[in-house]
Amino acid sequence: MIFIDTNYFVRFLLKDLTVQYKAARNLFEAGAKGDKILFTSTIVIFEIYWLFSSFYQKTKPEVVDILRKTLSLSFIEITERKIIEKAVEIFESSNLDLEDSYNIAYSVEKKAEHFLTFDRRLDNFLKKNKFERT
Amino acid sequence: MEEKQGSIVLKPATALIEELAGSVKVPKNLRGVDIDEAIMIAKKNYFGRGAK
Repeated sequence: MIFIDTNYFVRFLLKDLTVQYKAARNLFEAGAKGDKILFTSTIVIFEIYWLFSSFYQKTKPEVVDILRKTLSLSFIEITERKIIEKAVEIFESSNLDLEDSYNIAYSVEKKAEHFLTFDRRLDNFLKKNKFERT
Repeated sequence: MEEKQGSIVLKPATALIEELAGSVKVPKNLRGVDIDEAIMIAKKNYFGRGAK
């Protein structure tokens, strides 16, 4: 199994440094063909989010698109793919950041009975969207 | 897999790679920067953005 770090995804999406882009692309193609087993972590997805939303100053719809593109590489195993996809959905349709959106998606997946927080904005969102279980 | 005019379209993974490769555009001055340094700057800016 081969772990894919953030910079591989970014070089592949940007195609800005030929040597690194080709290395990333070749690896992804090998993964797509089933010649190599590739995986990455939730943190890598968050680094992609921080990078494009902050450093590259992408708009929210653009960031959502980039995250969806990354998640669509289904031959790359991401243990929490389903949770992250849900988090991106919440992030897209709310004023929450991806971290809070992830925590909601995670709590839903884990069938949490309650989501307790002192964050008023998050709490309001949870109440409004009936995320509390009874 | 994508939805097109109400139908589910299955795409080979290699076609997806072709489609996504170089699909994100950034300004010229930000092309080719050290990604790991950029991630550090991004985290610093992102988490230093103040109270929500």
